[in-house]
Amino acid sequence: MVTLPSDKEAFIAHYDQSKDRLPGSSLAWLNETRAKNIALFSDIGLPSAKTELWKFTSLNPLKKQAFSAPETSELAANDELPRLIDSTSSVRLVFIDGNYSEALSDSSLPTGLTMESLATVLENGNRDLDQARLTRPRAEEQPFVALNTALMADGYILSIAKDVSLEKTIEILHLGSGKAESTHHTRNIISVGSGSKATIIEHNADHGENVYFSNAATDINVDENATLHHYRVQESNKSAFLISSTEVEVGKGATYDSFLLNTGARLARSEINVSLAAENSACHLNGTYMGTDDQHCDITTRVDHKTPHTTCDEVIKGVLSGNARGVFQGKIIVHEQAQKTVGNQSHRAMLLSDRAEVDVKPELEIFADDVICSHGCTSGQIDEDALFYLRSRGLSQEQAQSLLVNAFLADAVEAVQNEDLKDLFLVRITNWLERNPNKPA
Amino acid sequence: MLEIKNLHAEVDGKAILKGIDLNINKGEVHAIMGPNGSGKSTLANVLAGRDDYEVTEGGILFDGKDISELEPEERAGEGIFLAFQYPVEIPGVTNTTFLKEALNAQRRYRGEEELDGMEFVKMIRGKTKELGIKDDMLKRAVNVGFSGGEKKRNDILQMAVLNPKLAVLDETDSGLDIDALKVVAEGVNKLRAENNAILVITHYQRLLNYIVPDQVHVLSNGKIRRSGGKELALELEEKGYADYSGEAA
Ligand SMILES: Nc1ncnc2c1ncn2[C@@H]1O[C@H](COP(=O)(O)OP(=O)(O)OP(=O)(O)O)[C@@H](O)[C@H]1O
Ligand SMILES: [Mg+2]
Repeated sequence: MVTLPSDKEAFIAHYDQSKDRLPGSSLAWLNETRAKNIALFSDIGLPSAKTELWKFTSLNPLKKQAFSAPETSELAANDELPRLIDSTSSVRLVFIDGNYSEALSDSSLPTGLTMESLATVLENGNRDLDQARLTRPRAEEQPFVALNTALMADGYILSIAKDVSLEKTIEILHLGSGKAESTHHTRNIISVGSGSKATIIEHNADHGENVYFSNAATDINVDENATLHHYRVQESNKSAFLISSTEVEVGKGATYDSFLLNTGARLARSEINVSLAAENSACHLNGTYMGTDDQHCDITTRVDHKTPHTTCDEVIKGVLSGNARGVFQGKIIVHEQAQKTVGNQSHRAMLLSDRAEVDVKPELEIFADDVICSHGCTSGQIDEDALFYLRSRGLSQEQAQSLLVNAFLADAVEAVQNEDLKDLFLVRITNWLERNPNKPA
Repeated sequence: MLEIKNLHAEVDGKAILKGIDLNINKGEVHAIMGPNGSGKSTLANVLAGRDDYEVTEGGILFDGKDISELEPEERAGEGIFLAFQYPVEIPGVTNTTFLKEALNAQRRYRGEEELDGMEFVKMIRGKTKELGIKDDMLKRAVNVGFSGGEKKRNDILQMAVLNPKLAVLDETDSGLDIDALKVVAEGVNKLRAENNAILVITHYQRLLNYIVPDQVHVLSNGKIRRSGGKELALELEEKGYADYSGEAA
C-alpha cells in the first residue's frame, strides 16, 4: 500500500506534537474532550470514496499533500489586509492562519456585541464558556469536526445580546499569511440573542498562493425571533484546502439567512446543517460557486424540520469551466411531527467546458403528510441560441458568455436577504468573469 | 451591397441551401417568399454567421468584402442585422443593458466613439417613442415574458438602435396585429435609405403593402426559383407554391 503524506496517522501525529501547547492544556475537561475526539477521528479515519457523504469529493489531493502541525504565525506589519465592507459600516475581526489578531482587528465593538477569542477563553479557563457547544454531538459521522475538536486552537466566540439590531456588519477576515503547508483548526461560536438582528460576513482570502489546510467548525444559535444574516466570501488561493462545517439551531420565529459565494480554493467543502426545531423557524441556504482549472467546490447541506410550521429555501447556482468540479448534496428531512413544513431546494449548474463536471444528490426524506416540498437540480451548457442572439447584435463571444453567466448567477444573489450586501456579491461575480474569460472550446 | 454567389449550406450533413444567387444593391428592398422548410431562415442565419450551418460551396460578399469567415459579431459590426423568426429570451439581462453593450461593441468594432450613459438614454428614448414601445419594456429582461408580437417589436427596436446597413427580417410580420404591423413597417421604412438595404422574409403579401419591395424572390427547396417585381407576391398569394416544388425549373 502506498502511504500518502497526509493520511490519518499524519493528523494524529499533529495532535501528539501539539497537544501540550494547545490553548487550555491545563483544563482537564478540555484535554479529555480532545483525547476523545482524536480517538474518534482515528476510528472514523479520513473520508474515502466509500464514505457516503464524501463519495463525490475525493480527498486525494489533500492526502497527497504534506502538512505541518498547527503553529501560530505573524504577519508582516505593513501588509495590506483585504476588506469587504467600508470601516464606517462594519467592524472587522482578523484571523491570521486561524489565529485571532487583536492588533489587526477593530478595537471598538458596537453595544450589544461581544467577541472573545477561543484561545483566550480557553487559556483563562473561562467558566461562562458553554462547553456543550464545543462538543455538541452531531448527526452524522464528521471526521473533520472530530479532528477540529481535538486540535482547535482559536476561533471567535461572538455573542449578540437580546433585542439589539446591529447596524454595522461584522466582517471576519480569515487570512492565509502565505505560510506553506500550515493547518488551521478554527472553532467558532455565534449566539444571537432573542429579538436581535445581525449580519456577519466571513471572508477567506490569502497572501500568496501557498498550500494550506483550513478546517473550521462553527456552532450557531439564533434565538427566538432573531435574524442572522450569515454570509461567506470564500476567495482563498487555488492551492488551499478549505473544509468547514456549520451547525445551526434556529429558535422560534427566528431566521437563519446564509449566502455562500465560493470562487477560491483547490478544494472547498462547505457543510451546513440546520436544525429547525422550533415553530416558525426558517432558514435560507443560498449561494453561488464558480470554479475553473482543477478547482473542486462541494456544498453539502442538511436541514432537519422537527416541528410544524418551519420553512427552508435553498437556491444554489454554480458555474464551472476548465476541469473544475462541483458537488451539491442537499438533504431535507421532514420529521413526523413537522406538519406544514415548507421546503424548497434548487441547484443549477452551468458547465462552460466539456471537462467540467457536477455531481448532485438531492435527498428528501419526508415523514409528515401535510408539507410542501420541492427540489430541482439541473445542469447544462450555456444556451447556444442565446449566445448567437447576443453575438448577432455585436457582442463578442466572451462578452456574450459573460453576460449570460452573470445573469445566471446574479439570479441567485436575488435571494440574499440583506439588500445592502447584494452588490458586494454581484461585483465579485463580475470580477470572476473578467478574470476567467472562458475561450470557446 | 450584398452578393450571394452559388451558396450551398448544410446542417448536420443535410444540404439545405443548394446554390443561392442573390444580389441586393444599396437602397433596395428585397422580399423572399417560399414554402415552410425551404431554407429561408437558414439563409438568414448563414448571413448572420451562425456556425451550426456549414457553407460548403459559394460565398457571400458584403460591400465587396468576403464575410464567409467572419464571426457573427464581426458581421454585426460590418452592418448586418438579423431580426429573428423566433427572438430569444435572455433572462437576467435587461433590454437597456443589452442594447447599450451591443451598440457600443459595434461602435468599437468600427473604431467609433462609444456612447456614454446620457447620450444612450437620450437616443433610446427617441427610438422607443417612434416605435410606440413603452419605457418599462426597456427595464425588463430581453424578451422574457414578452408576447410574440412584443418580441418582434423588440427586435425592430434593436434594429432602429443599431442602424444596420443590411437588415434581414425573418417573418417579423408573423404574430403582429395590424397596428403593430404598421409600426414595424414604419420602423423599417425609416431605415430605408440610399445606403441601406433590406431583405424581408415573409409568408404574407400584406406586409409588402407597407414595405414595398423592389424585388420578390421565390425560395423553394434551397434555391431561388423565380424572381420578379412586387406583383409576384400577389401572384404567389393567389396560386401558392405548387409551381415551385423545386424539382422543376
Ligand atoms: N439545426 C437543424 N438541424 C436539422 N435540420 C435543420 C436544422 N435547421 C434547419 N433544418 C432543416 O432545414 C430546412 C430549412 O429550414 P428553415 O428554417 O430554413 O426553413 P424556412 O424556409 O425558414 O421555413 P419556415 O417558413 O417554416 O420558417 C428544414 O427542413 C429544417 O427542418
Ligand atoms: Mg423560417
